[in-house]
Amino acid sequence: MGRSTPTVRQYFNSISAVYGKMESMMRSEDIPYLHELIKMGKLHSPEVSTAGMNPEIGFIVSILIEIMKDVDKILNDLK
Amino acid sequence: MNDYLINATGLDIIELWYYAGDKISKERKRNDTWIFISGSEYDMDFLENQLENSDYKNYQREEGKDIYGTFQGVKIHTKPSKIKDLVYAIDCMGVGRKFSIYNADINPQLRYTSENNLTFFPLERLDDHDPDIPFTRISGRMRNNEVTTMEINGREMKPSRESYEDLIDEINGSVFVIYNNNHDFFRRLISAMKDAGIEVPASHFSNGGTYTSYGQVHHNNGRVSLKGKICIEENSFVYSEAGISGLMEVSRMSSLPPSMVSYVTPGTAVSSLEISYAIKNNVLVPLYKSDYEAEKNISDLSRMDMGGTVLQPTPGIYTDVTEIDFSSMYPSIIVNYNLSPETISRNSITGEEADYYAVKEERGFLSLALEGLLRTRLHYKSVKGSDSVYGQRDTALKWMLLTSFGYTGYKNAKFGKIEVHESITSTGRKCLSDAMKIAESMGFSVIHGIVDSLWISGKGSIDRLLSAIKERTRIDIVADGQYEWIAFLPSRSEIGAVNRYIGLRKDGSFKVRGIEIRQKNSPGIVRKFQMDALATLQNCRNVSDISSRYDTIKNLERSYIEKIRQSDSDDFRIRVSPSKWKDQYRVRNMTKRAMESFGSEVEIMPGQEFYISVIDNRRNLFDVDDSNHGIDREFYRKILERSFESFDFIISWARKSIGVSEKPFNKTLDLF
Repeated sequence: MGRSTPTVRQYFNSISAVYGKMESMMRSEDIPYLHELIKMGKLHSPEVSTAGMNPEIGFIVSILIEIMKDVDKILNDLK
Repeated sequence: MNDYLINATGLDIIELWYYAGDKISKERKRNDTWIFISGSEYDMDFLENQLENSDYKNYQREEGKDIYGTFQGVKIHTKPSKIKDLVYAIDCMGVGRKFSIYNADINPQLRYTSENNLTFFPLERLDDHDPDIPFTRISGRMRNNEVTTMEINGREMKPSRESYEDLIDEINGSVFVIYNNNHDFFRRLISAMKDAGIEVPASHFSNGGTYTSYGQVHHNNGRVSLKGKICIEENSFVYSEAGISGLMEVSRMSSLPPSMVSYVTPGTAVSSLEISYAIKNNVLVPLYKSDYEAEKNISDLSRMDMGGTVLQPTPGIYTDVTEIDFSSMYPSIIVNYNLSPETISRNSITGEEADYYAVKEERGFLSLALEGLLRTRLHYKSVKGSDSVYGQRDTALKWMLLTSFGYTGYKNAKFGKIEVHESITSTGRKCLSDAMKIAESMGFSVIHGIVDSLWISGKGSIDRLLSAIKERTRIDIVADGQYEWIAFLPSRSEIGAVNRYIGLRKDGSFKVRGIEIRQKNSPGIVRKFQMDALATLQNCRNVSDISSRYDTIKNLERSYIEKIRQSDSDDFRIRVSPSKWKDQYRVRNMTKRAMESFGSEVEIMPGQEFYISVIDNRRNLFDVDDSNHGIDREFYRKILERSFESFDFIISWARKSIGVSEKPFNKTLDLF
């Protein structure tokens, strides 16, 4: 009973841990942006899980969706 | 009521206990039984030759059927006490692979009652009550392995010859003996009574044990049996969850005697129900399974091995929210989608459809076996508000249904198969996604979803939505609660935690998940603070109301920090439940240090609970038996401050959303 393979959320946490290692070599003013990207990457795990897609690609797609939403909001505000 | 069966004991002779007119009458019945063997024609000829030269000459060739179909085999008649030796001999003859053996490991009382259509605690109608059967409830306290206080049916007394005699009188006048055997309390009490020269019914003791369920380690207290009584340990799973009415209901459904129900898990109960259904319908029950899982490649395994869908909520406060829940989603899927090991097939269509579907038109075994359980539970769910007895029956059946799904993926489940497990979750994901799409098409927005529940907000008609979802998914769905507001709380990484929320229902009650008040190991002072904080938010109807409670919550927090000095010692007790033996802890954490404070005479087993107060965390001083006063204020201050965080988030979010500026919420990010 129970799962024998990791969930997409678990994959995302390990991807975040790898990306997080960038922090030690980063300029401190860049670090909040890395944090924000990692947060964005984690926001669409249920959809990535349902699609059965490669989690790393899912993580990037998740970031892109959130950036698109932000761009859309800025454009709407400008209008 | 002459046929009110309450218990069955025995092996080759079954003793049936009937309850009528406040008395128990017993009937003894011969219990002849049989096992069924199948194999190749050549191997069965060989088996028959061997049987001719043995003590098992009562056999015949006949047709048998399991869930997959009919086949020829040899039926060997014997006594239950001989089955083990017979199976061993056949296994040796067939070198463990030539013969398939059936009906060889079934509980004898379950088999006898199922074959003879007998039911424990029979009811004419579902809404009937069980008769009041007399019981004695025994608990107490110990210190240094000696009984210091005992409580008999709520009366507290000190151990003495008179109190022992009182207890024996109570036991003799009862049918059920409900006892607490924490740290071997009841066993030691019986020994003390025997030492004092009291005549105690013949007793039998068995040791407790440790088991793991859903990743958590639990401890079963040792059991005590008294001759002529139905003994129930009050910490046993079914009794502690569903009380005596729930225990009787599980016995009624599973065909297991009540004392056995008290120490088995709901999984064993549901497995027994399936075996009983198989016996009643002449379906053979395999001794060893051979259909655990079909082979699949690694990418299929990764794709199929998914549980239910859990959405990612955005942290914040939402108003005008309705929670809609599928009723008994997974068992309903088994029954309504006809999912059973012999009916399912992989779906070649991907994308919109579920990964599996039922290939057969006729009903599958699992679907039929669980149908009665599901219907009965849905009935009690609909009437549970009117009577506590129905509530207890509902709880008991809810657990059975929950495990009926899990058992389909358990390697030792007689009628389980991994693909059935996968097909259930796959269909469940499809149903939830259908429900989300329907809700959005009707103008609702989906805020959160967990496996079988959705939280939606919007002004549309909930009734129309529920009908549309039910029509599409074929599963009952109900509105479980309407909320004035619900706050989904953030995790440490600031994205929404999937299972932490606080919601105020329109009827004034709260639904709270994932915060300290729900955690069994939170000290009383934390629970009290969170109760008070919830009470503060009880009259808030919108975000602006919540924002206005800023000062009250902050003052409450301050007052609790100050209260650490004056609170009652009970408010600082923390439940500790170790997951392994003391020596197996490699890190000297609080659990290990607390176990060490018992000294070398007391060995705490994994899963065995105990309570401590922290006197000085740094110097490893813990109070384990209420003998010390004084607490580590700094330690409890930190725990309290952690319990403030959920309420601080709600208040600061509310203030921010209505434009009140304040310092950012002070917390540590934990993204990685």
